[in-house]
Amino acid sequence: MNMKIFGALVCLFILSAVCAAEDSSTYYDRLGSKLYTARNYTEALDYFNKSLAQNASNADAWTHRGNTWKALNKLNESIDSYKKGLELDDKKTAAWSGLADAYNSKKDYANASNAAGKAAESDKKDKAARLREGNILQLRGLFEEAAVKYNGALSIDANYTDALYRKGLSSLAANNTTEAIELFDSVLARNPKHKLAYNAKGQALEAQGKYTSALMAYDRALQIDPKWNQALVNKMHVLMAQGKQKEAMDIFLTV
Amino acid sequence: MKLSASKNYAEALQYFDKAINQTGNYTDAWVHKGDTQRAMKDYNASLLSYDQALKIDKNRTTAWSGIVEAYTSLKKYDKAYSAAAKITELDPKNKVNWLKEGNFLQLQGSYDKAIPKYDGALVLDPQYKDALYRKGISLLALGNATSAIDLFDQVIVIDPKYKNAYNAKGLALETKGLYGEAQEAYNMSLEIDPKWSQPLINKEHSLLALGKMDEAMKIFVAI
Repeated sequence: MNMKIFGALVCLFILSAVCAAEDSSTYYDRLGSKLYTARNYTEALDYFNKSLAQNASNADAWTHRGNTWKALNKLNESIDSYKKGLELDDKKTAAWSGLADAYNSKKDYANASNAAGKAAESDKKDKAARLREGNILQLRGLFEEAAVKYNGALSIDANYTDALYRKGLSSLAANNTTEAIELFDSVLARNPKHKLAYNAKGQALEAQGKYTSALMAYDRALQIDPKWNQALVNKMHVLMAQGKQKEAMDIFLTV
Repeated sequence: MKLSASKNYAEALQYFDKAINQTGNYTDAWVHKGDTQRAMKDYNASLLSYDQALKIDKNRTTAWSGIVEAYTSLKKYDKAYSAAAKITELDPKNKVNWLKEGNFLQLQGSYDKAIPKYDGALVLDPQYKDALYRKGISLLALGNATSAIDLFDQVIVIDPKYKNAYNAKGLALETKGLYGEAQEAYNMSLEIDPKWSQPLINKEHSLLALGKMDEAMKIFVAI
């Protein structure tokens, strides 16, 4: 009887010790997250390390640690951290997303694509995950495959302007300038301040040889962001195409 | 001077004022005060200091140079040009002065008037690549792409690493409808500086003009 009571007490002690470790791990993870939000990354990292010292099975802490390394531009450390988190729980969308972004920053688009695909797979309702997948495919030059991903994002949210815009770029790459312009216009109908859509619309119009309309589109982008170099250079090219060399060179000297 | 060099501008100003109070006609102190005010981005105050220096010595080129820099920072290129012209008048054997004059005229859109200034610089040094390049820009603005290309080529012979000349040559070729050649020129510029966005955007446009949409968009999404 005494042995049974002793055994039960030992179990209780071990259980409470585990719970305490888990509690403190969660507590440190939370503190680290607050510091991360305040962009105090070095200190945040200390807390995530403390959290993991208390409980190395805290998948969230590994993910948050990965985010922090990424913010510090330590991409290899960031990737290692996400992978540790995913070894514990391979359904963590945030870890897959972070991993995709880290590989993307390293310009390792094949691994980025793979991770982005896993992120999208682990949360079927996450439109941003589909957008990310598409964007990485576009960076790999796979515009057609990217369009499928944007369609996936748009099936979740038909008004998703970023997906509409990116799908427009895929249409443009496929030389379907009319569809591209329709997509850019639908972005602008939803968000008239979407400078990227005006700029891309200018490109599509330029490809159609409609220089006056292209110029207007670039000017609209520049109304929103007068110092935007890309739109300025684009405008310069349209002016050149119109034979307005002096006006073009006026821009050339300022960019 | 020591305090200004160590970027302790506020204290430096106090010493320049002391120097001016002790010797009212101390031209250099006024110029140094102006330079310090300019370093503190107090451009209008710096202009007043340079004016004081010029009241004592109207030929002090350091004061005129300060005025040029202050007006440039204020983006008042017409006034910067007038001061630069005064420096050239005082020191006509300095090719840089001629170049600066020309550049200010270009910034005001006076490409034709800039050409004699670059020619003035080139009389002093026919191999002066910056003047050749800028003269090429003027010719391009005036619609003379062929002569502009000749000048950019001269620059490239003098300095094969002159990325701006390749980039400008690409633009000149583009105006002649030679998009393939333009693309090659942009590529040369990008070989020298792969992260320079302007030739990259320029290259994208030449691809667009050639109907190579897929290739153009690859650049577009990567910028």
